[in-house]
Amino acid sequence: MSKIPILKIEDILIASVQTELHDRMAEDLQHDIMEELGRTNARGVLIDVTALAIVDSFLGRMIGDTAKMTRMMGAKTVLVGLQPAVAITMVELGMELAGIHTALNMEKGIDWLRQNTKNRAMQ
Amino acid sequence: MAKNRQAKNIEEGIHDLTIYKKVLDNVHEEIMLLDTDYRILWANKGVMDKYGSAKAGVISEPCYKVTHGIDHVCRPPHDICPIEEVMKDGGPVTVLHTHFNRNGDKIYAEVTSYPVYDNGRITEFIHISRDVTERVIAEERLKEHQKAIIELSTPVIEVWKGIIALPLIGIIDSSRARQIMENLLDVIVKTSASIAIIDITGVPIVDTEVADRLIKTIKAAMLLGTRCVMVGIKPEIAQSMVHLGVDLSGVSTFASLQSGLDYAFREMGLKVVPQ
Repeated sequence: MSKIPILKIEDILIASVQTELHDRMAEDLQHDIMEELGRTNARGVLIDVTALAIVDSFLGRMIGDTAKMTRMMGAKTVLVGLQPAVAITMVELGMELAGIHTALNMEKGIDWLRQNTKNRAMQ
Repeated sequence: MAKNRQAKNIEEGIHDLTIYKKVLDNVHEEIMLLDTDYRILWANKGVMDKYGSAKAGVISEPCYKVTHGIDHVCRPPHDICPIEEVMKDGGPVTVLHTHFNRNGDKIYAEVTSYPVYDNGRITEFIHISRDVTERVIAEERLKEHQKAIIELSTPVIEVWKGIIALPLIGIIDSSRARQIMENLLDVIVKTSASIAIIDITGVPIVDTEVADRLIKTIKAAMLLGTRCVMVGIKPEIAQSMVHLGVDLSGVSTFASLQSGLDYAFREMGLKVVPQ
């Protein structure tokens, strides 16, 4: 089974999902992100799901949990690239991803992370 | 006496036949009798007038050749052969067919096929078809109009770079709500807008269903990373929404489009100043 690569650019970890995400791969991804966060001390995590056609409740919870875990370690998580059809299905199913910041695309996600992690540094 | 009765019987028989012929030849429906090999055994005047060609009649020709101009039995994905359906079910079947008349013009025909039973076996079929071209065309036109109305009724305007507005006018039903949602999300992706302003000034009634659909639209837009502002909430709508127990927490709402725009500009770090 292939792994989702995690890239680091400056202070941000980027995980771009390019295939359908099975439950096992999702768990691995969460684990990898946390490992990588511990190793690099990054301040932001960006999960790109542009290629995903389905986000089920398991994946939704996994993403929510990851966001909570990263927050504990002092990093912010942003989810980018949800497709309109996926968003509609999620809303119809009553999944709202409460507490997770979402952005339209990677550019906007990185912008948001930069702004928010910078603010924290200035405080 | 016997001869007289016989003559009378024949006279009555002829009289009956004239009446049958009169009835069958003066109706607009095309009626034919087919054998189990799809060949036409008998056809009324309507069939001759509509499909008959000058040089060859329609009798003993296969029905698909006369009405469709093809060399094989009708089969999906085109028209479904009613005879085959009748063979399966045993009862009459009605289908909509695309026929070509004697001039080669395309017409829509509603064809009903009735089985003729002899000793419990189907021996022949009666085909009655009616030209419904006008009705079908009118229905198609109606569908096109409905589509056009839906498209016209959910415009999304790019007010400013990163700000889009969605003025809603008229009653929102479930199909329109879905259309609105899909339309808005598509435009968000296309324009990569940060803020969407939903203006419900023109929506006369906001009941729980409409509110629920609007909230779903807002939540879906938020999942894409776009904040939504709801404006144009009239006093009576605000009252009825509170009475209905509609929960709008987490959604910024304003009375007018102006205050919504003002908020959007501030959120974007923009400022409108007099020259």
